[in-house]
Amino acid sequence: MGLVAAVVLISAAAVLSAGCGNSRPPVKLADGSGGSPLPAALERLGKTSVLTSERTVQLRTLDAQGRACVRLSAGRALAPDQMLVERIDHLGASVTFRLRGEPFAYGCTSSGRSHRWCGHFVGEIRQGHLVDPRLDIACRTAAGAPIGSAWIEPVAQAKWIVIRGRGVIQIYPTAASLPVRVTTLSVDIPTATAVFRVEQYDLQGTRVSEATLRPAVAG
Amino acid sequence: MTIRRHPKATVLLLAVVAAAAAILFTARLAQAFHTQFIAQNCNTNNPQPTATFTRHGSTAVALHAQYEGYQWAGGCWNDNNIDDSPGDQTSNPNTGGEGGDCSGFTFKVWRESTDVNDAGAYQWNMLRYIHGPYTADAFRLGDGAPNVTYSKSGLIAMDALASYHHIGLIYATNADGTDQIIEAKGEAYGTNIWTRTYRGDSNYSGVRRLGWTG
Repeated sequence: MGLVAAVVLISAAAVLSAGCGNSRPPVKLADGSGGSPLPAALERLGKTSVLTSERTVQLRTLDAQGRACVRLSAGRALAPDQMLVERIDHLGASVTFRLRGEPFAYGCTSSGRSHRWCGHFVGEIRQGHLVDPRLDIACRTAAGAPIGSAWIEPVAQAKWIVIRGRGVIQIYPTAASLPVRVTTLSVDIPTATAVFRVEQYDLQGTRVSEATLRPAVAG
Repeated sequence: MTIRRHPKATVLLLAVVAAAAAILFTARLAQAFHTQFIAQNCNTNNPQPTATFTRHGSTAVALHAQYEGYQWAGGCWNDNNIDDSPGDQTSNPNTGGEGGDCSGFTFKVWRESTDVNDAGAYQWNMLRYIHGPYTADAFRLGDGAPNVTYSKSGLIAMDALASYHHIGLIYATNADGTDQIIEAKGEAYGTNIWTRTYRGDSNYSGVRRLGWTG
């Protein structure tokens, strides 16, 4: 009986260790959710990928700090029904918006689960394109590591923008003809620069663009 | 002797000449805005902490940059009263030219830390290549421990006026209410002093650096 029990225990341990040793916890978004399932066209990116969330919301849906950040970014109070594109990724959240008739993109970022609004930025648009990605390095993770955020402009056919980071691949859906705010932990504080490994994919999952961007805090 | 015609060789020769011309033209273009100023002159030395920093002292720091160049996301300069890298591509942080941009210039003149939580003063040598963590808009909003927004009516020399995308430092105030602003204005202008009406412009806000000792 003792031998049988030992065999059962050893077998159970082997099964468990096989599962535990080969599995990784799924990547989560900053709000604690696992995000939506990966689009089929991008499933090959693997288990370290997470589909970030994107939705269009009204300003009134933000908390008081978020509304204050938007007011700072825009330089004025906005109507409660001002539309914003809100994104939640692995490191935090962002909102991006434009105001009718103005050649600027505006935005704010928050970090982590605390959702502390820590970054704000304005980008000038000339001839339909951002002059600069407006790198911001003001936000920090809970552990104090700097978070770099910047705007990426989708290329014509892009349905998703993918940022390859340290152990995490973040997938951002494009939306509303606005630049996409993305994040990285590859930040160099002394030089006020960051590195973004950017890939863009079309609806079929074909990579239509690939680049390593090194924006700097500027202007 | 008959000289045989070789059309293919002629075409090939013309192609080689055209390619060589294109390469030379591109190289000259590259040389026009890739002057290697940063690579050849600037450093990444540590700044010197300083317990005292005065408006007069910062004015002297600022004047070292007068007549020098402008570099997006820059920078560093050598006080030879020449823009050593004129005509660089605008809004390109990689052209390696001389000068600061408006916010980088302000960061160095205000002797600030790369740590946004540190309000201390740090002397950055003019050839030290550094921009700092603040954009003009960040200064405008008083981001960071050293910076606060300030009423425009109360601004004095070495205070700043900042908009979404530009910041300049007050060098002196004119009798008519305009200001002489020392600023890194742009690639076409370099860094210099101009009379400006920023104080009366609703797009501009007042900013003050905290901690002056004189």
